[in-house]
Amino acid sequence: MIEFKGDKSKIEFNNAIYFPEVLGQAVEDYSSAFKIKLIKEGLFSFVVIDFSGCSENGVEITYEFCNYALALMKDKFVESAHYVKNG
Amino acid sequence: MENPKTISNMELCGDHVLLSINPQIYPLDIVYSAAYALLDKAYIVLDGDPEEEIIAELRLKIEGDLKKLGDEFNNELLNYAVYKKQSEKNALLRQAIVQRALLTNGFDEDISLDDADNLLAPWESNFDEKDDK
Repeated sequence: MIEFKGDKSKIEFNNAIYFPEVLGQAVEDYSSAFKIKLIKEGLFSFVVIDFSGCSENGVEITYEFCNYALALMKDKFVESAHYVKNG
Repeated sequence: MENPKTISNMELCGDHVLLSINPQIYPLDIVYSAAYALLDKAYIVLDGDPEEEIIAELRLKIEGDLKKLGDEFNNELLNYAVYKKQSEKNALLRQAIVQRALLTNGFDEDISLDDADNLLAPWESNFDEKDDK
């Protein structure tokens, strides 16, 4: 679920689908360009992006972050799963 | 907001489409791979329970047909499911081929290859002497 409020967006990630360490990596990668933070709460993680002062579209930035997190998850999860399966 | 329209496992909701995926048929790694294949044309967010039901929320990056996008995602799911199944089926054979290739390389003195152009000779021995002249 994604919420937009003013110049900020808050994305809720399910830890069973998006591992918190992968989200941590994605947040770190984005932190050089945006004000961004990761909040871990039980089974969910929340990413808050502040795109104030940013010329780009905040909605696009938010969804691009989701895509980036998904790409990292695919790289981590699928590769390791195949390595285990194939020995 | 428009009333959602449900077609098979798809729910068209205005600017996005929700896909319900059964993880018993398409496990999470297949869902990741299918989503990854469409990242250039859609914004994708996954949710739900990897044991019960996975929900994929797809939003087109540029205007287009949401139903088509949902269909494409379903096709990708099937594509990667087949790929995984085949890959598991061929795992032993693949391993045997790789082992054979590695073993063959281990006994390179026994290999007699036709190397008329002297391509198998190490780079140094091929060029160092010529360079010295």
